[in-house]
Amino acid sequence: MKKLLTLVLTLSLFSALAQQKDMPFEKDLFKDRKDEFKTAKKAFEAGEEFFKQYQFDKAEVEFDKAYAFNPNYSKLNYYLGMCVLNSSYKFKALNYFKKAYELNPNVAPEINLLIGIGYHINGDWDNGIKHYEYHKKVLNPKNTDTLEYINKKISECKTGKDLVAKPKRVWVDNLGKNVNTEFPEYGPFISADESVIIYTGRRSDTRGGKKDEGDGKFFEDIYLSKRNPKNGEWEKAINIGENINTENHDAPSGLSPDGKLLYIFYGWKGGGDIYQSKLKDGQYGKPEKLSSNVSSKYYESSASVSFDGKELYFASERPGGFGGEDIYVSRWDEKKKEWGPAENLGANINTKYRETGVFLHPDGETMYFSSQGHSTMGGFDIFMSKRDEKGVWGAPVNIGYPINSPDDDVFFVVSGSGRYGYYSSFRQDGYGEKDLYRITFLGPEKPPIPSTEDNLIASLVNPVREIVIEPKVEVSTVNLAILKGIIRDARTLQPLEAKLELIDNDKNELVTTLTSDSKSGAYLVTIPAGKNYGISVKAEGYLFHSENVDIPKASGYKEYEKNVDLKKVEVGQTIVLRNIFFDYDKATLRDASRNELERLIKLLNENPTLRIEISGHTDTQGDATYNQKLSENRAKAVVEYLVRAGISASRLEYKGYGESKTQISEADILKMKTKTEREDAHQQNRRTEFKILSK
Amino acid sequence: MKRIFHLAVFLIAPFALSAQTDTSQVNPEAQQKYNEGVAAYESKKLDEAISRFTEALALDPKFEKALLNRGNAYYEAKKTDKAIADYNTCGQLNGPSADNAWYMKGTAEMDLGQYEEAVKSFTNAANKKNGEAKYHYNLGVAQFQAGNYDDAIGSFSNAIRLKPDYAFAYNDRASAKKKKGDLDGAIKDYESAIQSNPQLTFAYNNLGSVKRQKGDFTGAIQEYNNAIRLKKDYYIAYNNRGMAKMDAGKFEEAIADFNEAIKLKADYAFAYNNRAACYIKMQKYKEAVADCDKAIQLDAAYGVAYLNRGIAKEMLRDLAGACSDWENAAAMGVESGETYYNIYGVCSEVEKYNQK
Repeated sequence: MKKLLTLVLTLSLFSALAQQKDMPFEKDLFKDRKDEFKTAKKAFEAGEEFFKQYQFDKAEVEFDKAYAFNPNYSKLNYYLGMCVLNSSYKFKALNYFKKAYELNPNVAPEINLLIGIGYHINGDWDNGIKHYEYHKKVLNPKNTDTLEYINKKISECKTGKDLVAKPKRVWVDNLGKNVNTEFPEYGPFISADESVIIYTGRRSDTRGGKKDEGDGKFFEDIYLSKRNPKNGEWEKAINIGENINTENHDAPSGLSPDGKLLYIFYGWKGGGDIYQSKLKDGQYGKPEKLSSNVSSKYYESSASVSFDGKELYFASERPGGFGGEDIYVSRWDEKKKEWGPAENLGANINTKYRETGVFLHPDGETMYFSSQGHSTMGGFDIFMSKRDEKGVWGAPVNIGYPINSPDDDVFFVVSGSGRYGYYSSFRQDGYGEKDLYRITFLGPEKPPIPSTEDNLIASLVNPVREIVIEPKVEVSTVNLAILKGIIRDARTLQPLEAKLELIDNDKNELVTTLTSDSKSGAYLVTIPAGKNYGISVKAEGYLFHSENVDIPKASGYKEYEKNVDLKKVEVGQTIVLRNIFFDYDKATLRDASRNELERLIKLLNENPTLRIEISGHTDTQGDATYNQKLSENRAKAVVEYLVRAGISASRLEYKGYGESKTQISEADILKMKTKTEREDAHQQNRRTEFKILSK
Repeated sequence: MKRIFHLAVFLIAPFALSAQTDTSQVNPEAQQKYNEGVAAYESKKLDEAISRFTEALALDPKFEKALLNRGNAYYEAKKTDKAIADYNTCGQLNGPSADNAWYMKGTAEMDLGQYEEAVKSFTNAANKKNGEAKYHYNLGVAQFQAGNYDDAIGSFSNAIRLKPDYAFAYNDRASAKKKKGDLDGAIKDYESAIQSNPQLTFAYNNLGSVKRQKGDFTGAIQEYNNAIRLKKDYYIAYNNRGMAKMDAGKFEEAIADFNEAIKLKADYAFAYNNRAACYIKMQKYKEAVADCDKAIQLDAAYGVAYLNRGIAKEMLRDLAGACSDWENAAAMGVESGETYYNIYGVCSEVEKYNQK
């Protein structure tokens, strides 16, 4: 009994000692440290002045000085918590708020709310909810706005708890010192093939070298880094230059999948407007303001253009929306050569809170955006929505933890492959402030396959191996192909500016056109799944070149690198007509061939003395004699089509080569390990060609 | 195909019987040669026995017993094709030994993996002597091996009807039901097998595997325990119990079982592969790679081990290694290998940058 009494007394004494006394900046409390007191009090008062002007970073510097002298003032702890809450390292605010409360529970009426936010930011969902509930109890019921706010925060904690319990399988990697610095880096945009990244930096080499008085950080500039094609490493980032960057804030707000159109956000122009800069000869040109349908007198920020250049998604605060920024779409008006009227994406996507940071994936059917309104785990979270066949955007899905955090998560872009996402984050092991990170999506767990056996047959010694049904792995991968490369003159190998046309073969419709870069000859075409596409490459004075890409609905992601060497119209030149199709095992031309045949007719009409040989080729599967006959009949069918179209038969010859002139030998095909590789090789061998016999 | 009971057990009985009977109606000289053949066979002089039986048959081509026993001698001498020919001729004679000849023909065909032929032979044997349970049982085994599980169930049922305590037939009928997906039926039959013969170790193991398939991991582990209690070196049961424990999330215990299986059978590639699978679930990827290495070393065509090694290598961020393994798995017919290889275009990217 005596022992217990001693323990209770000891604990009471300890508790009394642990209870710190609130120590305001009053000289009587610091009689033996007068000089230091004066300096600290001055810093505290200076901090208060900055605080009142919402200059939290400056206030924090002063408060830190005061804190070094006197950490036991409830109000100072409150102020510091508020400053930190407005920084990139919000998670540090909790300790200040907790201490402020310990020193004086009445330090601020909203102190429990702030402690709740502190726990929330640190992912301590239960304690967050507890303190939000405390605050609710003392809240005036008439204060419905705050009540709604607290209820939303509680709901966010619940969402956070659920999402953290089911984390996404990802790797998160810092992009490294060639991209990140001690200064803030954020807002990344990438080309679909991840060959270039463009982002915002607030570095000391900002154009003009000035800081924003509002937050004490350097003005934003746009930076660019290219990926080394040999090793995949990011090269040293460069300031994108004076064409784009001003002495004010300059930030990228979008990049086309091929990297040729850069969208820029100038927050200080027209209430926040979006401009467009075109890549020409390896340089981004002078930005031009988008038409008023997009860049209105209201605030517009992020923008994202579809792979075919026909849709522009952007965020705007214009009236008539659901509240805050909303996501809109504008369609390209080919007649007026400008973006058409903006359409709000509707209640499925937009809420009464803010939606921004829109990114349309190059597959054309997946959109990512940030929202404060849908089921977030705190602040802005990134959501994904899929467009159905009717073009309706589906219910947004939170892309989960750890991509989303209790803090604001804005500006998230995904590579064409869908394997990688890019975003910014403040992490302790970074280079300082916010850095850019690459997220690798590992997809669902790949289950290992075991092997078992049993003595199923009693009279046999050897056990029977159990046939394990391979588990089906549901992979939410994109269905998309990227075709890229360099267009050159076949003889000189000099880069060429050429026009590329992407054609939907089934509909015989032009999907989009683009031009290779005149300086490098580089091109990149993003091609969504579900169709068979023809690609024609044309340049003045050259024979056209054709490619075919067949991308079934669920074909996954493929990247093709195809350098095209355009040939001059010369005797002996051979061109493969990749977009001529026949019915299976027949010599009947399919309608999908029309576009390619029309191109050939055009060529023959433009060169009226040209004589050509049409040749048919098969793969090595099946009977050789049969293949030879089939290839000859097919070549003949093409010639007959041309004759019907008015080309003189005297200019045309045809020949079937069967399987005698394969592009990929049977021996090489046999060496291929996967079925897909072998099928692709056979496909390459099945073709129609033409050869110039005379001109 | 190695059978649990050595064939000599079946062979000697009819042979000895043949030597003492049915010889009075044949040519005496042929009978003499025949008896010399029997003596040579008993002295394990198979070539001499074959010569004597051949001489006997030269004198009397329809000497049924000489045909059957020359077939047996050929069979013992591992000249299975010749044995089958003699059994066939003997069976065609349709004499008193025909059922035995058909039965032996079926047995020899099973050895060669000629299951469809074996089904015909055992059917002939059963038709000739319908009351013989073992003919129906072996017909069931041949049908099972040929993948005709419905027919197999019918044949095993016939065997059980003729011999109600036929533990092997219960076990095998259970296996056929398992193959058909009738797991409850399989459990019932395995339990009947055990009831008929409580020492039938493999029936406990098989019962455990059906329970595991049903998701009853506790029940499965109990059955494997029974099997191991009866047969301490039953590595298959250790491997299977490890699987059940892994399925139940008892990874450490599963590893201990796979260790034991490997201790009992050092070249047991399955146990290495399964231990690797367990390590993958435990996120011990280096250990998983080492075990897959060993499994592949033991069986270079073990596609699943390549697939699993690829999974572990991916998690160790050795993407080039993972892609190479998935490609090999795909080439060995493991479909997931091709899926993983093509997913997200990662392996194409690896090739592009040659990254590790």
